[in-house]
Amino acid sequence: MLAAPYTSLAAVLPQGRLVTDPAELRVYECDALPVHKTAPPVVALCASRDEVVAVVRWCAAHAVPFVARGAGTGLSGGAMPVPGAVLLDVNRMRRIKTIDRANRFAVVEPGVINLHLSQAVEPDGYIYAPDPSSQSACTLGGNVAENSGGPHCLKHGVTSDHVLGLEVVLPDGEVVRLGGPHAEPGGLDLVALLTGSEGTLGVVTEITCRLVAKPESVRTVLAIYDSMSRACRTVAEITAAGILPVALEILDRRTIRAVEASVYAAGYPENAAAVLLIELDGFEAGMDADEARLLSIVRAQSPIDVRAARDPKERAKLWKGRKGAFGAMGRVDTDLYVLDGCVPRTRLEATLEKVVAIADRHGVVVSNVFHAGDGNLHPNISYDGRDADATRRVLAAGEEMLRACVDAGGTISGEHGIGVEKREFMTMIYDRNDLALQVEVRDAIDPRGLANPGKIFPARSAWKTPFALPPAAAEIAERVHAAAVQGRRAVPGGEGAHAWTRATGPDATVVSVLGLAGVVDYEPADFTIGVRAGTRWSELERLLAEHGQEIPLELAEGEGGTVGGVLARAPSGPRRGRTGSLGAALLGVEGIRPNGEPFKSGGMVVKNVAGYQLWKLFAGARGALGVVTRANFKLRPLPEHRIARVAEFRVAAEAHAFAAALRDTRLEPAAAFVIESGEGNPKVVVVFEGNEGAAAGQSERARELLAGRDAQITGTSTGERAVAVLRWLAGLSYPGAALPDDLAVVRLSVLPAHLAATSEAVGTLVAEAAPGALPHLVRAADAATGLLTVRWRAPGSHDAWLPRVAPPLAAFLALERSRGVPIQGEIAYAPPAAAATIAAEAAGSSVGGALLLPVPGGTLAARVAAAFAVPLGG
Amino acid sequence: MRFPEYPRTLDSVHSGLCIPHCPTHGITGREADSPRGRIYLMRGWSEGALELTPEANRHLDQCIVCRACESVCPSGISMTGMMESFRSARRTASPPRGPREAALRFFLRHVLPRRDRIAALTDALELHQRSGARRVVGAVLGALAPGLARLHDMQPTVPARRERRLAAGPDSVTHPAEGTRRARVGLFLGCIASEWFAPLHRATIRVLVKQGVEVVVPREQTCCGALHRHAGLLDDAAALFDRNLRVFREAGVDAIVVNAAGCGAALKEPLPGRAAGAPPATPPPATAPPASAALPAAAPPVRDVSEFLHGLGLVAPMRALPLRVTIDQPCHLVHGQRIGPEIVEGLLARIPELTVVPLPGSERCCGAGGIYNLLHPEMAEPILDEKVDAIRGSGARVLVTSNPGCAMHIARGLARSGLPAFEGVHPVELLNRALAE
Repeated sequence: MLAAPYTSLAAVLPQGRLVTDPAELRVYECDALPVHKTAPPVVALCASRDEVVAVVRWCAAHAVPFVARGAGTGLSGGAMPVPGAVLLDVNRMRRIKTIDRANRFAVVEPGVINLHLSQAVEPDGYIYAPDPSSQSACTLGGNVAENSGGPHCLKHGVTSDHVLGLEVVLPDGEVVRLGGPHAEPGGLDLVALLTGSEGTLGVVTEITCRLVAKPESVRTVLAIYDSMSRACRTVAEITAAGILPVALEILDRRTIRAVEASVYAAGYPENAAAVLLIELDGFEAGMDADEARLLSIVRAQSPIDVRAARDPKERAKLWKGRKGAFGAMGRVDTDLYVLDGCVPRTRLEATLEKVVAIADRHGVVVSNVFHAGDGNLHPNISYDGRDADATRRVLAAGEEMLRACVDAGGTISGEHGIGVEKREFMTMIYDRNDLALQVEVRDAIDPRGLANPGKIFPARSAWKTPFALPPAAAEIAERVHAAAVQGRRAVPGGEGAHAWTRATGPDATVVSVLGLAGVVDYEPADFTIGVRAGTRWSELERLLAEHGQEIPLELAEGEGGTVGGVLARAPSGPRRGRTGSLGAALLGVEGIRPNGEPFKSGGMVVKNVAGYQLWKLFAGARGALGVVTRANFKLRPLPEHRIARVAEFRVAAEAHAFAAALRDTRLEPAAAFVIESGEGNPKVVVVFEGNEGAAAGQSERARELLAGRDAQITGTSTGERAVAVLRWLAGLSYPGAALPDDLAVVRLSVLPAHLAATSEAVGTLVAEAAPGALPHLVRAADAATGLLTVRWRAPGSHDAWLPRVAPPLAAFLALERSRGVPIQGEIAYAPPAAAATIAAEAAGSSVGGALLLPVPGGTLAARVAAAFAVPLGG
Repeated sequence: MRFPEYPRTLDSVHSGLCIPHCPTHGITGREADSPRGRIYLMRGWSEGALELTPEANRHLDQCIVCRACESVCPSGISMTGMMESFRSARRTASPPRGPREAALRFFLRHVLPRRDRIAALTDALELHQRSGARRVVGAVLGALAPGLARLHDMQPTVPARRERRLAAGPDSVTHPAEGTRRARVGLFLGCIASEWFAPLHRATIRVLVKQGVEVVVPREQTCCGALHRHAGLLDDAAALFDRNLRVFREAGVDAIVVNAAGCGAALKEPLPGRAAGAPPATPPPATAPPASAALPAAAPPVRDVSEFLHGLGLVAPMRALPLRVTIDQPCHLVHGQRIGPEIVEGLLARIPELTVVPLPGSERCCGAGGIYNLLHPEMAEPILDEKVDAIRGSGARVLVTSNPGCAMHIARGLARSGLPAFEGVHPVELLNRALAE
């Protein structure tokens, strides 16, 4: 039945797993974007990782491309077959392999349906936060491929923020494991690279997902308006007021009517011009205050009516309408084209007006339903696909609408991906240099172009000539280029990346970015900022604070550094467990590649899935990928209130037990650390933030949890003094600027539940290897992330101490890992003399750092890093 | 070939929201075994874009018409109407042949509508089962024809003859209400069910009578035609449909009460392409609006017995039944008639000391599908396994379902899995037990 070259494919799979019937193959010719269609020659129904490997290896051996497909609910044609390519279907891979409640992660196969994961963890009090509107049908594998968003991403972030680790079958059939359930395993963030790569870098066969605690309290409000502009203005006012709802969704009149006529009818009034769905979640104690504030803002914009959901049933109904909106549009006409653009929040209303004008001009029917809080627009155009002229007009209008988003400073896809749909539009946001970098990274992983070819990237002939660089950046480009010509590595020179972490050496030329300072783009109401790399972090912090905003990263007291330097080493702030890593706040980067070519990646919008997330690789890249000239960040409102409490315990085990108990509640501390030091008792430091009710209420609950334990509260601070506590915690984890010669810092990453045991083991180990260091040994365990920082001083003879500790430490880690314990460690700081010795012996290099164990996928990281250095046209 | 419901295929925006709810896709993971895939095939065939290969037909026939997709379709597509209309058109375009088809057609046309033949066949079946021939035949078939042997194994044990005969004589029977008459209803018996589920019918009558309802059992009523519709034999279905309506109209009842969810859904749902009761002679034009017309004014409304009792309100006193039960929701109750779990739960909540424990996936199909389990055991059996696992996990000892066909199918699965003592009952049977003498 199968024609050449597919005849031998049947032999690599169990019987009955190939779809070869011509009629049946036709049902696979499109995903949820039925505008483009290509029937595959064969579909391989894979049920396990090994079967995926077998099919991919077969493809590699026969030089046949392949396309991975989950539920086929994608809206950009990402899973659309490619002529001649094997369609690799993962629907049968739907096992939830692990649910680890204590450490808040789950391991799933790629065919698991998004909602099924949330349903599986809900009884334990957790959710998987990203919730695309198709969550009842879409697979997590597809979510990873497209870096899907969803209504609740406003507060929780998109898929990329919730994927901790991946198992990937690379296009040559090699299986690599990237990341893992423990934080910051080291090296380039390849998980972020794979997330949103639309199946062009391999096939994901296992996903480690972050779970978040189900909020204690949820408030859902429906505001009804007689004008769209009032609804948009309300959104602007809410965000400007520094309220961070979990979702802010708008539906227009046409959408409301379609929804109300469907099984998803939610009781939206059909005479309204727009409805705004607002959801707040969080801790019960602060909810009333937040809701009251929210309602006063909402009422100020004179809605026709405001309704609050009284119970979970009413809430579910309000949401049902929003989530069913896309499908309900089937009632308007036979076909539906769902667009997906993202703009800075303040440009939402103006862009929406343009969208409507464009639709009118082309005579097409548009309805709008969108993630207003994120600036993520979804114009839906209803038409009859059998009418060629109508289809042409729809596509023309669609292109203009995306152009309008780009003109407003936005992007061409917030959450649906580029697929085949928007390949040609990539040139709207990326020039020749930018596209070349992405394609070269792809080529480094898939040199033969077998994985989902023809997606994302436009034909080379369409690539656009770059604009001239600003003079300061041009000068840096020249200097990097000059170094490259001489065969030297150009290393960015800012401040804040310690000599230890900076990849210097005799063959390096330091290119200073100190002259490149200042804010480039800051509209506070957008909650984004673009700054030059030479800007001082402290200045950035100050500027943001003036506007009541922040990037949630504390540096140690007295630690300076430039934005580029801080980015290069991407320290974990003490609040990382709650507010995410620096990489999560990064929206885009501009810079100079090691070969002297300029590039940009990402932009100034909070949701952006156009092309690879290369910008995320720069967080912690330690200068290895080139010189960053500009970085864009996502901002948060400064918390209204903070309370820090310190409790002292007699025994370390008790302190760890308390931290574990705290993690088991629905409390959401901004930071929770267990500190063990030579001086004084073991301590638990907990910081709560939010509005006053939430911070105080949670702090009180934590105090109740302490009752009956052998401990006492020895300190409570609020406001600026609580910030000082955070900076102190930051300093324990990351050494400040003034570094003593005899300091050593080692950072381990384990699962939170393993912190107590690991801390004890490492303490014993250091005591044995370097007995003199013991009085100065400090261990700081971040109970939320599982990061354990161990620092000590060995007066007078440090260079001799550290090399003595490193080998037994590496052996300990290797033993743990061989027992299946997720663990990694790195030497975070060592004086230069010791550094050289250790670097030579380090098991793996995290592109500049010194890891104590090899990084999974380490060679892949090296290939990606090398791709950045490839000369253009080379 | 344009089939009457073809325009509705265009309503699909290919969202795929239906897919996880499809029991057959749950088993094979193939797009063609999902509602979206099947609609795509029907549309492609209708537009002449693709040929229906035997493989494509297999996937189309594997649709149970459980209607779970209808409950989640944002475009409001009726899979029932579309599938019935398509299967009918396909019959016209390429009439099916072969012994299996001949047997099916004979059974649908000459057995199901005739209660005398069903009775005769059931008598024969009882003899076969009681005489010991069952074991012999099973062994012989097992050696000679494993496929037939499997079918043979699936035969349920029929109740004894004296249990089966609901009423003798040629005329309709009327059971007077106890106390003040609150309503007069007609009881729908069904085809096979009229023989095999006579105890359920007796229970239904008693429960209704005790609530002050007069129950008429019209003699001339016949099969609901659901199986004919599933098979695409729409003319046959229409004739049965019309006859039932006429019979109950003439009986002068306030409502037609049905105790089998599948029959109830078929009686409530107008045939595709025409308003209920209209003559089926000429096929409607391709542009016909979706059939949504209600029953003619004179026709009494169709009510599932639980729905009817819920609306009426239970008045007769009940005694305690200390049982742990779990409720399965037949597809044609929850999806077909949109009667949610709260209706049956509400009735059972009136029985003192009865505990209802949740059944995960209670809204998912069990695989029975009328005679689907006989025609597609390769699909029905694994679907049944999922249901059995869920029931075992529920911790209940009694399964409540409003469709006797499902009860029979699930009971077989439970017995096979080592839970033979598990009891499968209709909600009215529990009510009947709880009603004091």
